[in-house]
Formats: sequence, C-alpha cells, structure tokens
Amino acid sequence: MSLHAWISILVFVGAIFTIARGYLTRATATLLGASFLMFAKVIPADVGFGFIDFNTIGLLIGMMIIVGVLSRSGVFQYVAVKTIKFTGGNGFLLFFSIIIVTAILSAFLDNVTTVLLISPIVLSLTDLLGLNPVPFLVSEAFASNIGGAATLIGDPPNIIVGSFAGFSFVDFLINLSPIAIIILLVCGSFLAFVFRKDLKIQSDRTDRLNAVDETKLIKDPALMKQSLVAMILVLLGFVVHHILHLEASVIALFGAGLLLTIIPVAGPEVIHEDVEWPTLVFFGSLFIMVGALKETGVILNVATLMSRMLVGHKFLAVLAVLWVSGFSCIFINPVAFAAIFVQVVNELALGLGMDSAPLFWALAMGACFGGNGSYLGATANVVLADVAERNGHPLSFAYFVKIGLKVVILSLLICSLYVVFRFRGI
Amino acid sequence: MRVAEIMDRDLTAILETCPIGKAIRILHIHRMSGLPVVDEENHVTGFISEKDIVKAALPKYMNMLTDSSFLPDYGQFRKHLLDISDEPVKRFMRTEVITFNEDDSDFNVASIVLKKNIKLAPVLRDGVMVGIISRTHLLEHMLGMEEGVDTFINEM
Repeated sequence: MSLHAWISILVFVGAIFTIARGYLTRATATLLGASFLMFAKVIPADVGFGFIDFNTIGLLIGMMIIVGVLSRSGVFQYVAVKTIKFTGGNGFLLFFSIIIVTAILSAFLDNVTTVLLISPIVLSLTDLLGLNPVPFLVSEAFASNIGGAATLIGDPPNIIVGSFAGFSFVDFLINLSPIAIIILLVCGSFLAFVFRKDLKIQSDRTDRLNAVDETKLIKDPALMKQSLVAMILVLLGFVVHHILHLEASVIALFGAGLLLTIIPVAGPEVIHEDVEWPTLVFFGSLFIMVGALKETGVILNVATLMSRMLVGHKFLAVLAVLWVSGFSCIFINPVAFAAIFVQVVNELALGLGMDSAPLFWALAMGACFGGNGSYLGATANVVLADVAERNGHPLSFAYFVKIGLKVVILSLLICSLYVVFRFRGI
Repeated sequence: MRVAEIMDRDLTAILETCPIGKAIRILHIHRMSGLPVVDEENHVTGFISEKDIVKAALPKYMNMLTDSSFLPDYGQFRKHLLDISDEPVKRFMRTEVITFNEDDSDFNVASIVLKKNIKLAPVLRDGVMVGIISRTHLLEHMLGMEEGVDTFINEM
C-alpha cells in the first residue's frame, strides 16, 4: 500500500480513537482528520467533497427540523405517558409499554432524540411508582437501537446504507421492520425476565399513576393537530418516494420547508436549535475520510482480503458481514463503521460476483443491533448512561456490557436465522 | 466609586458544614436570597442560594421535562427536601463564585450583576470576605440614599 493509504488509515484510526477516549468531540476529531487529509493532499479537495453524501445530510436536516417542530407540541411525551398509564400499573405491561413506545418513536425519530424525550418520563413515573429506574432506562436504550433498525429514517447507519445502496423507505419496511419487531419482542422478554424482581409495583402506588394527567403535556392542541397531519403526509411521502423517483432526503426537506411555512413557529429558531450542526459536520467529515480510504485503495484491499477468504461462499459472506458488523459496532461508532463498510461491501459483492443487496441488509442489521453491546458504539446508550448518572443512578460500563452483550448475541442469532430463511438461495 | 466605600460590612455567611435545614433558617432570618459559604478563616469557598436548595430538592429529571404539571403531587418535593436537610451545604453550593475586590468600581459591579444575573456577591481582600454588595445596596448608594429609603422619600 502507498504512503497515502497508510496516512488515511492512521488519520481514521486516530480520529476514532480520540473520539472513543473522549479527547475530542466527534465533530472536532473528524473535521480535523478530513481537513488534514485534504490539506496534505492525500485526497484532492474536489474528490473529497465529492464523497459527501448530500442525500444523507439532507435527510438528517429535514428530519431534525420536522421532529423539532413536532416535539414542541408535546405530542411524543403525551403518547408515551398515555400508553404507560394504560397499563394500569402492572409492572410487566409497564415495562413492555415503555420499550414498545420507545421502539416505535425511535423508528421515526433519531435515537438520541427519542431517548431524551422518553427518559424523563420513565424517571418521573418510576419515581412515582417507587420503582428502580435502571432496568427501564437500560431497556429503553436497547429498544431505541432496535426500533431504529426498523426504518430508513430510524438510525443513521440505515440512512447511509439506504442512500448508498439505493434502498427505498418501503424496502426497509419489508426487509428490516419484521425482524426488528421480532428482536424487540424476544429481547424484551429476555430483559423482562432478567429484571423480573424490579418490575413488582406495590398496589397502593398504582393510584398515583391514575392521578397522572397526560393532557397537561399538550402545550398547543392546534399545533399538535397540524403536526400530526404533517407527519402523516411526510410518512406518505416516504412510502411513495421511490415511485416518484425522488430521494428520501427530498421528501424530508420538502416536508420541513412546508412545516415551517404552515406552522406558526419561528423558522430560524427551529433551524438553529433543532438542527444539530455538530452531527452534520461529523457526517460530512466522515464521508471525506472514508473517501480518502477509498481513493488510496484501502477499501479495495480490505474487500479483496475478505473476498479471498469467502470465495465461492456467497451465503457465508452475508453472515460474515452481519457478525463482523455486529461485533465491530459494540466498540466503534456504527455511523463511522457503516460509512466505511458500504464501500467495502460494494467491492466485496463485485469480488464475489454476487448481488450486493443481501450484504447491505446484513450490514444495516449488524450496525444497528451491534450498537447495543456497550456504550462505546451507539450514541443513544452514552446519552442514556449520562442521564442515569445525573439522576443518581450511575450505570457502570461492566453492568451495561453484561446485559448488552447478551442482547447483541441474541439479536444477531435471530438475524442469522432470518438470513438463512431469506437468502439461502443466493 | 470603589466597592469598599459602598459595600455592606455585614459578614453574615454560612459555614461549609452547616446543614441545609439550618441554612434555610439563616436565609429566612436575614431575609436574604443567598449567602456566601466560608471556611473557618472566612475564605469564600462557595455560594448557596434559595434557588440552589430548591434545585437540589427537585429530582434532576425535572430539568428535562418541559412541563411537570402532568405529575400528581404525592409530597415528593417535601420528601426530597427533608432528605437533604441534614446534608452539609458544601454538597449543594456553587463553587464558582462571582466575587469583587474592594477596588472594583461601581460601574463594573453593575455590569457584572446584570450579565451574571446575581443579586449579591461577596467582596474580598486577599481572598478573605470583608463585606457583601447587593443590587439594592448598589442602587441605594448610587442615589445617595445611605441614610435609608425613608429619608430619601421624605426629601422628595
């Protein structure tokens, strides 16, 4: 490999390492890495910028604006409290209602946003019911990652894979939603069993749950109605985007534009507060860094190495991509992993002379479900661990991994069965 | 005008080891919204206000909820407050305290009071508290009302 190839690897590994150790924020580390690669002419600037996937960036911006407007109406927390109240204070039902609501919201909202919306509800209601919030918070993190895997817009690795492979919103509904639902129910049952002792509610406390008045969470009923109509229209747009030959990002951006026009909230305020600019800088820079790995031949080398080992075993290649992605994303940021591996998988499919779609699905499943293994990978887990600690319930890394690893292995086993069932003929 | 000339030489302060319950009592007796926290040698080590105590008695998740009125009252605030009433002030005080030196100008004090949204701050000499300056105190002095509001109003 050339000197430039080694420099790109070094810069990439360096950036991932500094992020994982907390020396630099992910936006800063990747911005420094990407700009250095262009500054040192490892990758020419025009080629580097060409690697930025504006469909991914546009989809992120559009969804951030839409969700920003909708969450101002209080609708998400209203739905969460209403569902929890509906359980009538049965511990197991309460547990399942929390993970199901989290998973459903997370399928349409960013995982971190979901976790930040639901965790204060979980904390306040477990406090009210005299329950230990830790099992609920940990399970909420798992549910957000599992739910995120279900749709194109649920989790950033899916956006990257979908955009690169040209999968539509409906493709995700057909290929990943069913498996995500199964994994949610299986892992949910497993977690309910693990935490069974923490799910018993004293009967005198359930009256308090009935006294909860969720209607107070709706700040602006008119805004809520408008928001719901807008959300349904945007979802319909996603369902038909491939028929209209439009990228998903165009639907999200158009929806965001319309929403800001119709709904009487200050557009600049939403754009400033709800669009997470550091996240976009991270994505853009990441694409340039991956571009350098591709241009200098690193990606091709990795793919060639993999295809040599897997030659003649197309089915095995799908399983390999699934498990390698799953285990890598326990430790590495799934977004960074997906950004590299879409390129690797693409080359690998060429090398093995096979259809790339099964490999892309395996990558999406691995990257989303693997994130549950620790809080090094998926951002929602880190955010939740932080929320738990600030509320006086520190989650040790070992505790998280002890449960998370089991959830990951369980999820990947189910995915493997799914792969066997779905792709055995390839 | 130098702060030394207009400050209140009242040295009421709270010790780090003072329990929260007693601190609330002291704030009430002195009709203050907050007081500096000092060690045995009168070095300012922190600041505790009513707001800090309310914040300490509320669960942290309250900050994350845009509105908490949906939750029923089951005495949770009183319970949390009772729980912390025997804890030392040191646990809940702010350690980054805004302080002034005797030589600071009234102009500087007024601008910082506004920027940092504080009602009062200790005045230090070599790190030791020698007085406090409050918003009311500052304004009174600027208008020459040292003798008290009543005299000023009578003159008008």
